[in-house]
Formats: sequence, structure tokens, C-alpha cells
Amino acid sequence: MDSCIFAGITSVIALFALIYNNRQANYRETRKEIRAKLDQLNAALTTLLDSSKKYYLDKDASLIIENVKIHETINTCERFIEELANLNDGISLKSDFYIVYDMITGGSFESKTHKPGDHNSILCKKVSIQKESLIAKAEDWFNKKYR
Amino acid sequence: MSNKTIYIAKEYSETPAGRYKTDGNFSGERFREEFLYPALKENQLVEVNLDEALGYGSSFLEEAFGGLIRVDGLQLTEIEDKLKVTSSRPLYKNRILKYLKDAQLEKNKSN
Repeated sequence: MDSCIFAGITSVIALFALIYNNRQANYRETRKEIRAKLDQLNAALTTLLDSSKKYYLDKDASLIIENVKIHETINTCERFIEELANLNDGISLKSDFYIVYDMITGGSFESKTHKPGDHNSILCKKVSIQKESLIAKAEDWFNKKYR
Repeated sequence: MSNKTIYIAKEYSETPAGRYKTDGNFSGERFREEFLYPALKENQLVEVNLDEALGYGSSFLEEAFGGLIRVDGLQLTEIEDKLKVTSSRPLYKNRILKYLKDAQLEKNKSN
């Protein structure tokens, strides 16, 4: 009888250990996936800023190439931001990203009268600040959720 | 009164760009004047499909949609009743609504 109770208790403990290990493994996997997504978002935003700087500041840059890159990377950033927002208990970075979008694609963007140069430096600095603010918000959320 | 769908990429340009006509051939201003506003005047319901274009700048979208209130004198409520924007990109739909609301707010302030 005692051995039956002991075997039962052992089985229950083993079951709980298995459940706990599975949950920990899932947690680590989710954390890894979200970390990768944040890194990809950061990289895409950096590419977006690089293209924007060339488009607005570099007199020798090909405006058409940078224009296309800007649209492409906006698409990429939006996809990551949507994915992060759609996670269970995810983060919405949409309003922060929309500010970046409005800044980069407003004003003289895509106008044939557009002239790159130092007169656009304030715009580029503001975009840079906004990007850092977005990433800081995302990192803060990640650190609170997964550390 | 009928319904109309405007496919921007097919009927206007795959690379819509710029705010004013002075910015380029496929500007937001020209799209509003030649496509969107006439369609809204002549139809009960207008659907604007944004898909399959390279992308839209905020200057294009603001002038094309916000201009309906700022320049053409339409009311936000009227536009909300008649206009449907379809896009696989939530960003554009969100921004268009924001530009329309901002234009209406500005108009209300100035009246």
C-alpha cells in the first residue's frame, strides 16, 4: 500500500516537473523569437534612417534608389510592428512608428523640387530621436516582460 | 447613384508621389481633383483600393484625402458615409483617417 502511495506521489511530481520544464522551454523559445523580432525591427529602422539621411542630406545620392528603399523598409518595419502588436500581451509601437512615417514621407518627399542638403538636417535629427525613442520603448517592454 | 471602385495602382499610377501637381505628374492633388472628388460627387459609395502600388507618402495621402475637407469643402461625416478605403496595409488606412480628422479639426477651428 505504502509503495503504491509512494509511486503515485512520484508520478505526480514527475508530471509537474514535466509541465514546468515544458513551460520553461516554451518561455525561452518565445523570448528568443521576440528578441529576434526586436533586433530585426531595429535593423529595419536603421536601414530606413540610413536611406532617409541619404535622401534628405546627400547631394550625390540617387534619390530614386533611396525613395524605393524608404518605401520597402517602411513596409518591413510595419510588418514587424504588426507582429509585435499581435502577440499575446504584445506591444503597440504603431503610434511611434506613424510619427516616423509622417516625418520621413511628408514635406518635400517625392517632390521633383526636392533638394537634399544641410537644410534638412533638423528633420533627420528629429527622425533619429523618434527612432531611438521607439526602440527604447520596445526594449523597456521586453526587459519588463522577459527578464 | 452608383458605386465606384478606384484602383490607384491600375488607374492612376503604381508610383503615386508628391503633394501638389508641381511636385510631379502623379501627385495627391491631381488624384483628388481628377479621380477622387469627381467620383465622390457622382457616386453613392466610392471604394479606393491602395494595393499594388510601390507605396504612399504622407504628403500624397494628406493632400489626396485631407484636401477633400480643406480644399473641396466636404465634411468628415459625409466622407465617412461615402468613402471606403481598402488596403492590405493598416498604416495607410490609419493615416488617411488621421488626416481626414485633422483637416476637419482645422476647418472647425477656422470657422
